[in-house]
Amino acid sequence: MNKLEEIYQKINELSSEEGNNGITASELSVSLNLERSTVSRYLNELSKMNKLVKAPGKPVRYHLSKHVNDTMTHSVHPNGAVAITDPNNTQFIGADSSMKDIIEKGLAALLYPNQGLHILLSGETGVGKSYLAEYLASIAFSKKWNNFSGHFVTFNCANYAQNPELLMGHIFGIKKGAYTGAAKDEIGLIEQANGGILFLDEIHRLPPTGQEMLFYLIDKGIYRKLGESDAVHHANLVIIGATTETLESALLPTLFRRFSLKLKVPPLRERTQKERKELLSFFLRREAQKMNIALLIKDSCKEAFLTYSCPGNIGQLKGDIQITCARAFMHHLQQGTNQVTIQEDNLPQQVLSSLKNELQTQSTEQIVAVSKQENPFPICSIYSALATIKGEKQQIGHDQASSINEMQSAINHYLSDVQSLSEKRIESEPAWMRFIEHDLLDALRDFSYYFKADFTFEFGDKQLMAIGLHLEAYRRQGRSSDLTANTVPAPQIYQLVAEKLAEFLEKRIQLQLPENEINLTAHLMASTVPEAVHKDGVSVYLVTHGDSTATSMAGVTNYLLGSPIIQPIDMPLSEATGVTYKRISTQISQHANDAGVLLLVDIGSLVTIGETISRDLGIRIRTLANVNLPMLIEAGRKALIAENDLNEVYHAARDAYLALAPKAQLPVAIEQKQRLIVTVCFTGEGTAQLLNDWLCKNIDSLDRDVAIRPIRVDPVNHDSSMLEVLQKKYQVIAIVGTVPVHFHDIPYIPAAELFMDDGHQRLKKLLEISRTVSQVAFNGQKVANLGKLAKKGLDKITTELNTDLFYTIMTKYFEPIKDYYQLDNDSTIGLWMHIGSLLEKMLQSENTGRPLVLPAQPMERTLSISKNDLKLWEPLFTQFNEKMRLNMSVPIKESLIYLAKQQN
Amino acid sequence: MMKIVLCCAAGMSTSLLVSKMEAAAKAQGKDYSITAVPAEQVPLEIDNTNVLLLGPQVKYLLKKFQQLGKEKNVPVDVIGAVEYGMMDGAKVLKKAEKLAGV
Repeated sequence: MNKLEEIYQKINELSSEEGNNGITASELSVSLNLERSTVSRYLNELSKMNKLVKAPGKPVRYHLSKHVNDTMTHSVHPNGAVAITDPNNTQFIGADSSMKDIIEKGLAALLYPNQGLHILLSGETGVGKSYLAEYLASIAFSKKWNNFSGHFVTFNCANYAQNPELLMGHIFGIKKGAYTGAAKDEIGLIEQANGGILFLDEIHRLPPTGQEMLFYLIDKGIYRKLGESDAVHHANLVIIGATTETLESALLPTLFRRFSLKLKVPPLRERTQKERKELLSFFLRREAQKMNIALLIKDSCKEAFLTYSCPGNIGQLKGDIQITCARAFMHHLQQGTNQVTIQEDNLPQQVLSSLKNELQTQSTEQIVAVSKQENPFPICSIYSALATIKGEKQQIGHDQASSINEMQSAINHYLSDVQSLSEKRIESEPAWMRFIEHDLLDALRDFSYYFKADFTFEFGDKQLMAIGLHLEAYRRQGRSSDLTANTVPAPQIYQLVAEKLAEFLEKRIQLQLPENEINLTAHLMASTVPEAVHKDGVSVYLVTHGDSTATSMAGVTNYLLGSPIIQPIDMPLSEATGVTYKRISTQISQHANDAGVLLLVDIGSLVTIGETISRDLGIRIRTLANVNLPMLIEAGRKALIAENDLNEVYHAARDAYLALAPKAQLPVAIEQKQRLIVTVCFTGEGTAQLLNDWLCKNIDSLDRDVAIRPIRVDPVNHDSSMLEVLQKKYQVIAIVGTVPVHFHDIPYIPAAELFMDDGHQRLKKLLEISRTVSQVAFNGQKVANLGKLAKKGLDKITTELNTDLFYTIMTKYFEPIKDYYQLDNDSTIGLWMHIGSLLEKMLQSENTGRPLVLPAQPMERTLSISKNDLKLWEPLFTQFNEKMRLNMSVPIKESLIYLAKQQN
Repeated sequence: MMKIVLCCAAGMSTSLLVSKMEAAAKAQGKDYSITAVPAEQVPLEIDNTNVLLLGPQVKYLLKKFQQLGKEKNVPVDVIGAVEYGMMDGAKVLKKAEKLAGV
């Protein structure tokens, strides 16, 4: 009799004694004299096999399932392996299409003669790596001729990631006396899985020493328990590892190479729509089984589930469906309907958002088919819990409100369970997390969760990462920064939370923070609070004709400046001037202050509108017409500094306008200063250094010239004299860091923003616009870039030619020509300009009626034009003809072909 | 007065660049004569030219025209692809001045 059967029998005995109250893991561990954790693992296994039923609540109580036979014989494989009886495993969605290859390879590896091959699974969170491993194992075990004699054991290495010793003890076993409290020998997972398969989820969380031990086991078949020095144990098992990380970087190379088969499980978005449909109905069916009542879903909701972006993959899909069903079920209880219908308001926000409006109205309900043959799902579900609450309350005659409250809280509880189960880390980990070790990150997350109530201020991901980066740097340096002189305490509310955090971190990850580090942490909390809206400076309004011109121009500017400094007012062409006037004056009168208003407008009556408003409202207003983007940016930059008065802002914007006139065509006389990005933190060594490294790695090759300097900013007075010095020598593009620094008009980018998905866009844009022309040109090797260059030039010299259209046609149809004649950049540009000018002149001659004069046939031709040449060019000529109505005559065609052929 | 001659195939695109260069010269208060001609006409123009610039698409003629320029003591060069592509009159003007030693 194996352990599993032993435990099952014991439960049988106990449950008859105690009047079926259910048994907890602790009770069982006492009566069996086994470790509690071991017992609960077996209990889990038994409930997975549907032998036991878990009752909700803490501690979890287990009941015997009534739906199973009392003997284990049916589910224990003849050769001792536990067959996984989970009915879900009878089919694997996608097994015949997108997962086919993976499953075949996996099975081949597991069934490889003698022992099977080790497998490493990779893929995003929630793609179903554990499920796949389980499925592969169950199929492998079910084959008569397999070589397995042991169990399938599964473990998530993230469970003990905070405590590497415990993690390794759990996997390899512990020898009595290995450490204080190790009172007896303990069996590890390896021993339990001997002869079978050990699935290690999130295997990258295994510390390097653990990876070494695993490598040794795979290689030699032997291992040592924790605390053993002489004895060795033999084990023969297949390891299936799984990781969300990039494979190469996740594991030690030695261990990595021991996995003979590496499989990438595709994310949900790469699975077919048919599979997604199957997944949806599978999960719905499962929920319907749990509810034991007819479950209906509206077409629109179904559509939403099939289309919403689901970054957490199948795990999230499942969780979202469960949440939706729980809500729908509660609705059903409240309304007393005789079936459960999934409606739009049951959907979680992210699902709902994909729903198209028109679908919502004309939607029919569709029933989820629950096949009658299937047994009702034998676990105690949220539904029965809800129904119980409802039932009890009604009997006692409670008012409905309190029962709804209670149900809501039951649901909330359930939701958090679902979430913690199905999504280990739902958000794909942004880059900055790599800088923070998992233990610290987990600790900070837990802290922000448990102590939510203590935050009277915002404490989101941004704050978390600022503090995380700081503490990680502190930990790596192993010493405090020399800032003892500056220990001016932060405001009380931050100080208190910082102290709590320090206490928590010490308990949780044994990280001791000295007084001044706590103080710094408090300052970090204080300084990452969103800045107060800029109040006292000049207000800048942008008013332009068109439905959205002002909004989008202001959007670009505000984005670049990182502050909503420009206020846009759109003026649709259909709107009467009087109405516009009213809108502008209302808005200005509401927000204006003594500093005055700069009004940037385009044309027409808007030019004088400022004067009138100024008279009416008694507010100082200056107006600049013919607004363009450089003016706007300049005005915004100057207005950001509260000290700049209206005249200064006005002149800066006006100068930007003038600079665009002839002056802009003059060669730049001033020697360009080297571009610089400054990274800042309180020490100049920690976060700033990390950011420095990150930037060095991630900066575009076009911006190689950019220098990066980490500097220190005083936590108390935010002194920035170093910036002063740097600005003399460099052109400072941006300041990046964890401490907001306002220095003249240089944009500040919080580190958190930089590391978010697409968060570096702003920095990228800032770099892009500060590049000099030669930088663009030297590196612009691609035709697209050359083409853009030519388009810019053509924009300047042509009046008739639609350069956008020309650009589109040329990018596509000139490319093969360029390749064929192997034209270099000079020739390519030259030909673009030549063809562009030719078309312009053809258009001009058409408009004026004056014939296009082409010079007589040029000098002696030394090259001839072949049929191939004509064939090559024909698509381009056809495009000009069809899209631009320009008919290229034979001499023109020939002259172009000839010109191209002469290039080399 | 300095005469700058640009040449390209059929004088097509350089003729448009001329106006840009003229504007740049005017802005700087300089009085130059700037013209564009088809490559075939260069031998006819070269005698009263101070500097000859080629469009990048006819740079294959550079050797030939440099030889000609040597005889007539006229500096010859190809306009850079970037300045040409951007129709940067000021830059091309500067290049012409540099070549002519102004």
